[in-house]
Amino acid sequence: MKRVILLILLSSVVLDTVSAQDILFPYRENFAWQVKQIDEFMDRFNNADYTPIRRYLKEEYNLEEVSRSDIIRSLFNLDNSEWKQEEVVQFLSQVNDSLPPPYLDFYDDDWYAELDCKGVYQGDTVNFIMVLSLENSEKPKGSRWVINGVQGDFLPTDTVALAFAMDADYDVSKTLNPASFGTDFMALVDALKDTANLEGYIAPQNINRPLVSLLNQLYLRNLIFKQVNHITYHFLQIKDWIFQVQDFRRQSTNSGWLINSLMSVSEEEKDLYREQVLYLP
Amino acid sequence: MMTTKQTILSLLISACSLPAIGQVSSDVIYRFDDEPLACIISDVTDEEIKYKDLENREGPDYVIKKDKALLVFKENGDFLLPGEGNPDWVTAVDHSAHKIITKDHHIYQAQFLEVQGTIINFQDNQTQTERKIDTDEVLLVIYRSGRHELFAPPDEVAEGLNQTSQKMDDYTPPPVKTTAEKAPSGEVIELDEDQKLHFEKMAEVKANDFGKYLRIISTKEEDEEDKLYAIEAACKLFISDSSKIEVSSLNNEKRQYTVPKYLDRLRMIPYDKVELIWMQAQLVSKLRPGEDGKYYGVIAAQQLFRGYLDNKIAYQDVTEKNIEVVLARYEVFDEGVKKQKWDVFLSDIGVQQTREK
Repeated sequence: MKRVILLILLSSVVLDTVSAQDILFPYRENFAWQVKQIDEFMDRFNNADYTPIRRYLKEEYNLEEVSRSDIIRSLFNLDNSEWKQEEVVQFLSQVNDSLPPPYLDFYDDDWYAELDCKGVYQGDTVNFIMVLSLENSEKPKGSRWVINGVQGDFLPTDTVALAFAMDADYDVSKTLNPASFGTDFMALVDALKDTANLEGYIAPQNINRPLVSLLNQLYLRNLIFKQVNHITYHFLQIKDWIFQVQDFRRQSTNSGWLINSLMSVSEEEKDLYREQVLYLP
Repeated sequence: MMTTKQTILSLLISACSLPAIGQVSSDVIYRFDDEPLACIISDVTDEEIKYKDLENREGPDYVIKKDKALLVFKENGDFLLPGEGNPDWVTAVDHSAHKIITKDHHIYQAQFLEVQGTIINFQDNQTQTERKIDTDEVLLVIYRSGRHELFAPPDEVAEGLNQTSQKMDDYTPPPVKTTAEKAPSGEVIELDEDQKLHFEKMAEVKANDFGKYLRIISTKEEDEEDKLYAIEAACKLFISDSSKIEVSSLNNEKRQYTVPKYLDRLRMIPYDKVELIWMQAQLVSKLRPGEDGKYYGVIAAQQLFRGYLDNKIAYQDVTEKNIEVVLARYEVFDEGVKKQKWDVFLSDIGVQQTREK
């Protein structure tokens, strides 16, 4: 019976009995279901019992247990008509039935934020891509987001060296903190203006030619960073799979950060993906 | 008997003081031999200063000849010295510290500034010590929010600013340290799960307080004075006045405002009546350590807004607010003993508009 209730909720049907409770109920219901942050997406993917949705289901519907399969199914963008049913079933089956079952961890290595950005380059509006990942540090113990890959057609390709001396040390207060994803990396607007402290936003071991070119253009103030337009998260941790997660803002129980693309891949294809889609060195 | 409004305010606001000229959000023109004029500067030409009436911001421009003005302060703290023959605006505000400008032309960068009678208590950024200064020795204070307060006659202040304006531009402040940022940089103290849970709850309480202030600030029927108090109290929830609010519209254009600026814009909202319903804020991202010794998390909240004109809904939307929260250490002196305490603050906010009608 509980499973039936859950499935009804997942298909965005609001029960008459609950809609009569108060006029705000649909908003509350949608907001409870909305996957508000990417780390909440990961927690739901793992079916962690402390997630806001699990608390909500318990309080509102007295649902103590929810199957991981149902929860993961709710993480797919149901408005996408291009899902291959067999592929999704195969993915769900692998995630559920593997021993040990695969989980996502915020501190995993192989997941990335692809930022579609807007800037002004020598007076013209330009769009470009930056790929960020979480860099974990043991001393000091903590983490920060760093820029790894860059793609922008306007960026000069003849760059071989930084136009400025980059210090190996950086000011830890001039970094993108681990929760920067929560505000869609809006801190980048000020961060990339602060050309004296660009070190804090990259990892020296990941330096590559397009990144050097971007840093030079920022440093020379030829490029002014304006905003992050859209974000796509790429998850490569699950063996044989890559999936992309994007934010879908709508008044629906299927909203927020949802899987919008799923690919069955080999390890070689993953390498190619890192190189060609994520512009990683 | 206390009204509901008074009760809410007395619960929410800890420290209040009556705003004087230069303390409310407006531009100010200090004129020769005349009262200061609180207004909105619309243009400054070689000869004239054009301004609008504070009560009629959409109304006509008024004009004052530049040679009649001693000193002009913008709401953001920029000032102009037309009386001293200086044609350019000077940026005086440092969002990380208040500035005390003395009669002997010294500029103190200060934290924890508090005016008690004729004494200003502050923490000097350069020496990192607590100091006192008599207001008789002070020309003015420029607060980090952009507000300013004169402690000497405007002609004396203008003369002093003329002497120090170059210094104001060249002044390189010491590293930014707000109340909450006094912990040694980079040193991370691990919190146990109970401590984290406690601060996560506190973060939710502060986010919900922020929602209450938003309602006061945007409600037409509230007194202007109460709204200003609510702005001040709301700002105190944030780790810094330079925390930003980024507003995304449905067409994905984004604009960033500092928190005081955003709240002031909200105060000016042009509806006859406003309904603002703040859905319960929830911490959706656990507190995680950054490399700077602080912990960071994200709170999500949803807000329903309705603006009425002539008793009809003129505009309504649903916005989602993602609020970064920072758990930071600060030092206090308890009976002369230095102690470290933790507190949670709000920081940058992303506002996503999801529906419009």
